[in-house]
Amino acid sequence: MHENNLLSLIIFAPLGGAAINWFIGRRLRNEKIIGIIACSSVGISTIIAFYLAFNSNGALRSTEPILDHLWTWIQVGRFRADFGLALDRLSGTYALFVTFVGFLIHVFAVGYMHGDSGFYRFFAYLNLFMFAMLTLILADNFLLMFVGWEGVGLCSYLLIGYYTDRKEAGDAAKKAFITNRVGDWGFVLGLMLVFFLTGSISFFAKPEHGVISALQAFAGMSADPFTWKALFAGGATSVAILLFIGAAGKSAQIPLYVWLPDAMAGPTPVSALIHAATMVTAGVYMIVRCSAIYTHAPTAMFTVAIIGAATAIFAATIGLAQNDIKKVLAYSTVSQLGYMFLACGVGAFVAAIFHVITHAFFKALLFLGSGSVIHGMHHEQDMRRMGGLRKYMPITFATMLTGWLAISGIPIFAGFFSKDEILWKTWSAGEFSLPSLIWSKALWFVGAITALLTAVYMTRMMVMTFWGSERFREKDIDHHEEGDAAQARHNVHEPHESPWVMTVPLIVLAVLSTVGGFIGVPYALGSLFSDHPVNYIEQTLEPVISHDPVSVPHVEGSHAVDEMQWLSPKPQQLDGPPAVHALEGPEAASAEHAHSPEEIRQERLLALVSVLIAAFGIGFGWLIFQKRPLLQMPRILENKYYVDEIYDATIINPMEGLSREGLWKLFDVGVIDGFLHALGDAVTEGGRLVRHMQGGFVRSYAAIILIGALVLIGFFAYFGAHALGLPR
Amino acid sequence: MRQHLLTILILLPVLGTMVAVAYSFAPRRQDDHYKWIALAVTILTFALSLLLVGGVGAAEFRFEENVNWIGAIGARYHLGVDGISLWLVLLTTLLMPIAILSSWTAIAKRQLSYYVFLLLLEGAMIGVFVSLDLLLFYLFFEASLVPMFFLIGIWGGERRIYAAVKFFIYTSVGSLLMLVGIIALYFIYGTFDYAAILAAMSAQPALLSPNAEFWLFLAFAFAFCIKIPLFPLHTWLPDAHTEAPTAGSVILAGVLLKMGTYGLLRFNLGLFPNMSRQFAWIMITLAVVGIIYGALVAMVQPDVKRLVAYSSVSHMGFVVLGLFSFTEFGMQGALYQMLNHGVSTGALFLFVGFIYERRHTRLITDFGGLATPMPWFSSLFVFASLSSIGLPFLNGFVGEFLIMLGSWTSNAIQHSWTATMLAATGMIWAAVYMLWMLQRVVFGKVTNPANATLPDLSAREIGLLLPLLILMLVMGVFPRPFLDRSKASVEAVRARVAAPPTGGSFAGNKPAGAQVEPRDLSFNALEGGH
Amino acid sequence: MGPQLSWYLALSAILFTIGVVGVIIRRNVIAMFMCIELMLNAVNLTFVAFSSFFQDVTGQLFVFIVMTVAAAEAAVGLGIIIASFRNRESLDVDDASVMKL
Repeated sequence: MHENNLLSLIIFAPLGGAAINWFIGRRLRNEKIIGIIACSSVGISTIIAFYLAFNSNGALRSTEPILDHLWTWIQVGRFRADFGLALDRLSGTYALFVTFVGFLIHVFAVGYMHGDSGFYRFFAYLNLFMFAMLTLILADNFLLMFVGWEGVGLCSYLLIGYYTDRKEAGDAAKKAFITNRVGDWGFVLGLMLVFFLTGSISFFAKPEHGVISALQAFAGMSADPFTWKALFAGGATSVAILLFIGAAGKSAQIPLYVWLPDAMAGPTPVSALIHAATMVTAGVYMIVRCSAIYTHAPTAMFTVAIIGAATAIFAATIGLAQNDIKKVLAYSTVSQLGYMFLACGVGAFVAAIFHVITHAFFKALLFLGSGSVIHGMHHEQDMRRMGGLRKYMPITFATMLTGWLAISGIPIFAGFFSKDEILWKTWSAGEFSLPSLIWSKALWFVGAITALLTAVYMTRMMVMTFWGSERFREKDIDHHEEGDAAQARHNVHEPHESPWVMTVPLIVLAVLSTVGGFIGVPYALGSLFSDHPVNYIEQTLEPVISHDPVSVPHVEGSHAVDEMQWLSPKPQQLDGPPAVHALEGPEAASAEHAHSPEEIRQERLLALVSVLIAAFGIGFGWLIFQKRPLLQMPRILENKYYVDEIYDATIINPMEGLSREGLWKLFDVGVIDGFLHALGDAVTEGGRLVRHMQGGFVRSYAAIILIGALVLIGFFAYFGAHALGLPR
Repeated sequence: MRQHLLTILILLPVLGTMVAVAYSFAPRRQDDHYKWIALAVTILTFALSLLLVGGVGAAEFRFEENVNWIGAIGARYHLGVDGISLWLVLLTTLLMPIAILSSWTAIAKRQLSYYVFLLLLEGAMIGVFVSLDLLLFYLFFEASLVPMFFLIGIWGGERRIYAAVKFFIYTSVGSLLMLVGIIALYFIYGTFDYAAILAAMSAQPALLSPNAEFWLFLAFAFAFCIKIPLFPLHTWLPDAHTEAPTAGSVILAGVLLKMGTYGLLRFNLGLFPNMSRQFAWIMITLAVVGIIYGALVAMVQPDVKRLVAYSSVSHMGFVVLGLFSFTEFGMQGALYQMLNHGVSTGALFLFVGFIYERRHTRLITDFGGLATPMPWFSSLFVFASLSSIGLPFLNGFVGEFLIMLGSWTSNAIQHSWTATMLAATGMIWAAVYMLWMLQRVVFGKVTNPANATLPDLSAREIGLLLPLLILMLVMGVFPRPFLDRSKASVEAVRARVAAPPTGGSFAGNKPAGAQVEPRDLSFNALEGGH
Repeated sequence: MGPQLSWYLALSAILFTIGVVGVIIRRNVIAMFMCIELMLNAVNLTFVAFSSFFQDVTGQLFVFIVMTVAAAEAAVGLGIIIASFRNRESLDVDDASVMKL
């Protein structure tokens, strides 16, 4: 472990860029300078990240994290939250692709946003996003991670709503922020529970600051049993579930996924950067970061796996029927994120991160490609108005082709390796986090179906966009909201290829989507071609990830949590033998994964199956949509299962109605103020009754005084002074 | 001068009113000059109040003044600041010049009396926070009512009379009960002096019967809960806020509400710790209900100012929740949240005031798309709203988080986890109502042509916002200087009120002997090191 | 048999009653005013009588206080009456049943 102050530059360079562009860019009105400032600030981060990761004792080479303690942010009592950064193997891996992909997207955006009146504002937000995202990744404790977590949410809000004069953009922005807040609720509570259980919120031990690692404390506890009661027991399982609520919000999982498709109202580079490559994978990052907690919470892992698989297939079916090119990609993103959570749920944390990386490459590529298409089509997003574009936009077409093959899972392309890894790990998942082994096959089956659907809808998208008849010249294929102005624009311009600032990032990403998968070739496949295959990603990440405890009591009655435990937090057991060594050496990790011939055979077989699935999906899609690109898809899919409508009808509208009519008008104004006014009126009425004594006639006052005096004197004369308790 | 600093702080604004009145007899007076006088006086007061910062840190009172006031009944003129009142005094003195600047062009009629009332209000508010004699406290507590009554009643909106009367009667009913409580305390302990009563309480605990403590707690709590305002005693607030002039709303939200929570912390928790423990579940229930209720009602308000007012109910619920968690996190967070609320909500009222001054309407539906004609206004408004929502690295988050952490680890009530989970939904609601309001006011297309040509913020308007905006950021990123100063004083109150630690849970029956307080692993070394 | 204490008290009661009745039945404000003075003096007589009876000077002290107050009251009261007469052109108290003109 060593300190390195360069680390903070990774996050502060983009912050500086944001500040410069925000305050000065407004006056500059020079797109070139603004663009250079924005790109170079991210470029600086990228260079430093690579340097710190790969230099002689870089983060990816040593087992100790590089730390940078800046200041103690909050310290009250025993609670301590530092502004401290840490670059270990996990955050290093993440930082590398986030900065690099982020840099490419910044470059792309310079071309895409050309001529926009809010150019400076856009790049200020984009840089601010990089700051927040890198803070999230590099944070050395939960609370600072939450800062980044909310920060990316804010930037997402600002960037989705970037076109401030569009109503749907504002609505989508608001929806994104609020849905994320629902998730953040879980994150905050989980964070507090972590503190409650361990007395620390730090990921890493910092002895020189007197900070212990919360994750190590968890690693030292015994695992929760697999039972639903554990969810409410206030132990590791509760923490894991609460954190997962946060992850589900940020990473768009059921039931909180609804914001992500709407978020496509933002500019396309934003969709690529935030809503495909980086921010939405923050949930996965957080779960992998907390693998020490999850591996002690089998119930939570099972929940994660189920939700992930359900989201994957659910979103994929919706993706089949969308006509907006970005909506297809959005649902595809939701679906792919589901894969990642499925991987987390079955304990394949490395596979999840691997898929995050390859997904960042090919989905950023696809989004940027769609951005290039939209740019070339003069802001037309409806695929029914495209077609035959490969002639007009050859580079975009070629690059998107690789993205398509990658996401569909065709071998040698990046997506194949990561997706196959997830499917294999699901198939071969142990009993730790699953009620029975049949679940692993069922989850694999869902994953395989999703892979098939992915290939189909991606083929549909490619075919509708790049092949077939050139439909952009036809006047009205469908009702279109934008009206005459948009129509007029279309007719004037032909589609054109985008400028080099946009195509160069596309090409780079296309290369990465093609070869990026080779960092994680599994032994089973690698050994076909080489004697000593190296799985770089596994080798790098395995040491910082926790594994299922070796022996976990399988619960069926005998180990059920007793009543007391479910009613109260589990007492900690720090004295027992540690179930897991969170930071084992690389040797230990590889030794653990002995490759039995039987497993290798199975893995190869499954890989073959997934290749066949992908090929079949592409072929099927090609056959259908090549002939009939405008094929009417099922209504229910096109309308996204009416989930938004259901949410509106069951949650949002009742809530609003109850608040307005019930709480405000009935209770606040009616009951409370009504009671007060009744009280006031009663006093007024009483006053009105006795008012008649005050006629204004002085002599009647005198008479009343006289009568009063006589009554008093009479009282005392009759009863004596003791009536008032005075001595006689 | 330092030993009389507090008296100077209280009297300086009063002196300012005299100067203003004297100037009104000048032969060639101009009405525009009153605000300059008021501004100069308040800025001077603020500058002087900064001297307090250096002297406060430990638990005991500093800058004490203790002289005979009404000898016959033993009432003393006893002033002092500790870590709790220090920041509230500074908040008061900071908000006053801002409030005066915000009235710069908005107030045209009867300027002399307007600024006189503002200055008198400042003196009374400072007095509330620094008096350590119960009778003196009561005097200032009531004295702050009168100027605010006139500010609302004379310079308010359409229903100003109703709002002013409602405000006055509501709060004075509470404070009269408190007066009864103060007199009762006098008959029990023979003194009005806070420190003397505290000393007597620890010396002779038997003097105060549980029955008496029960009623005394209620009398004080009633006064303060109305002032906070705690659900369901909050209905004066939306009316008062809505009808008050901008400066009045800022002061009301920024300082007057804090008098309630300050009173709870100083008097209810400080003087009646046993009853506080027994009442904790009621207070926490009301606080949590208030958090959610205030937010939900805020969500559906058609009037921007009313929306911000109801959001105050929600935010102040957090403060009460923190106070009654009896943990260091919760109580420090509550104190911090008082400051945050003063800064953030004060700023929000300023923003509402700006657009009201331009359009003379507060209805949300009358606005829309202000981002186009007023970019500065919109950016800063969004910033302040985010602070109110509780975005990390802005001030609101630190307070709310500490409060929730406090209530999570609290053992004041049985279901502290459930309470925290409900309270934490306040985070979601805050986002809902603020963003929805922003959506309809700031974003979108300009639908009303009257909004299309609105002038953006002037230099004065940005200038008066700037201190608050900077504070939002500073308090969010570097909260420790603030928290450290109040630490010892809050801890002193907490030590009196806290019960033996057992820990929170979903349900009440905790396993015997399960020590579930956060483990003290290696922090002691750290604390010693500082 | 000289004058007894009871004689003084009886006279004082009679005077006081005359004063009270006068205040109630007279409508002329000056007459009412004089009746009030009469009541005060009835009380004064009681004070003096008791003072002499108990050989205690305190009662006479009070008489002086009452006389001072009565004098002050006369000054203020007459002033008010004159001001009121100027405005209302009447000394009838029933005409002054409302405070504003």
